[in-house]
Amino acid sequence: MARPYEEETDIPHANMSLAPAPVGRSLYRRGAVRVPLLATAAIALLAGVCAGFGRLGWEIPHVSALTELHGPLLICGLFGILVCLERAVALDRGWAYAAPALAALGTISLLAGAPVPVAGGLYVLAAAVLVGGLLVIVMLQPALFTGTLLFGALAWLAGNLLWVMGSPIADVVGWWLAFLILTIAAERLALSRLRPPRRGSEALFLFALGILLAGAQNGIMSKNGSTLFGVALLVTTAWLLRHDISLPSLRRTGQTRFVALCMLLGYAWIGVAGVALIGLPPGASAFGYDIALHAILTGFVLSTVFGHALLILPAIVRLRVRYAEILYAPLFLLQGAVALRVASGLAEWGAGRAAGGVLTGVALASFALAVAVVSRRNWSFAKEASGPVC
Amino acid sequence: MSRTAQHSLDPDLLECLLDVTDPEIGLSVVDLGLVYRATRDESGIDVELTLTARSCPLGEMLMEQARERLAERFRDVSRIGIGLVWNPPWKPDLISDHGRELLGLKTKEVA
Repeated sequence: MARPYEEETDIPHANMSLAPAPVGRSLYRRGAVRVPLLATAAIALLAGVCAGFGRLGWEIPHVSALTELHGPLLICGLFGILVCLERAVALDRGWAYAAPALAALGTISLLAGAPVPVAGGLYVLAAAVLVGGLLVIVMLQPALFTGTLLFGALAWLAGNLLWVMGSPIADVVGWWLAFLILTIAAERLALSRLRPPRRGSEALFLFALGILLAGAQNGIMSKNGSTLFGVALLVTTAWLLRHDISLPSLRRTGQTRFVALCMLLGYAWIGVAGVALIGLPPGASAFGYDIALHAILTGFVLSTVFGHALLILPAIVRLRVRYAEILYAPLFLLQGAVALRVASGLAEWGAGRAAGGVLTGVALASFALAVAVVSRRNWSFAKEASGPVC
Repeated sequence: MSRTAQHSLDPDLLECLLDVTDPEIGLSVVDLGLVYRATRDESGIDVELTLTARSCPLGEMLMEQARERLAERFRDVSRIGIGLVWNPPWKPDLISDHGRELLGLKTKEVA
């Protein structure tokens, strides 16, 4: 039986729009829990990007120890915390916050120099709690999209377990990529219910899901693994272009169009990654791994983040952010950065790869700055005493 | 929508809630069919919202926006109660004709 989430506000003054919060509100709905988790995700982003600069040969003080952690910090740290936090907010149960908290602890452990079994073990526990939360969601709403979210979390759990047991990152990264791809694809599948129903939608989606997981299992460093993964990405791209709401949403205006464009650009990049994985298998070409990973993680995942940051920040920490057309500038900068990275990989041009990496950092920084500038008048972390909902 | 459900939807409250939108979809909670109850009497306002998915984290945000809009519009009301409910589960049939038009879906009369 559904547990309704209810709150009442007694309004003492006729002209008050926000009234005192009810006493006894659960701690986890408060910013005191969510803001530190989000801040840890931001630290993971900063450290992960700096580690990436280090990998590209840039000399940054204190970063040399982190270069091997570029991927784990961004995938398990940044995105692990964010995905777990989103699900915890959706589930509205205190125990679900153990997932982002464990992912945050894993991130802090990594940054503090803890060995992989310790930090990775915390990520394993985070993924296990996320799986538990998604099992509850699947039981509450049995559907292909909730099941896909669950498979995404299971993929993260599998990747984390293999990493803890000593597998190299290149061998587990397929699971980590599957985690993010399935999580985003599941959310798009949920939204596809707003489009006219078309025959074959779920069958095609299930086909892509199956071969994506088979590719992750075989590992993208193997020839058949990269081919399966690449085909899965191409099928996913085709499915998204046909069934997602983004293409028709381009005709809308404002933020709706901006989000749609972010998503469509992201879809193009997973198509590119699919072609790269088939044509330039990471195990057999110099920059195939770099091209595929950055097309997926920078092109697809970060484009999605740009589109959804304005939705998620208010939803999670009640940070009121505003859309403005200036946000197209960092979005296009990001696309240029990925294009340079991919083109440089194809040309085996090291300096171009390095420049693409730096440009990605500039795009991220300019996006954060643009959001801060256009939203600053609205910014009010709602005070605990006056917050009506969280 | 059933006659009972229609009676639990105050037109003035619905008009106010048209300002509460999902920016990604570009539709209001009213057009998306997320408002299950919106009543007003001497004791205050009661609204029940649902979401399209149990995995969606936007519930608190939409409830907060609804509360703010209602408090701005109905300044003389003493109490605003907003609830997030899950029964009956949301389905695309609940989207209004206006919403269906914007999404390119067939309107209910045609469908």
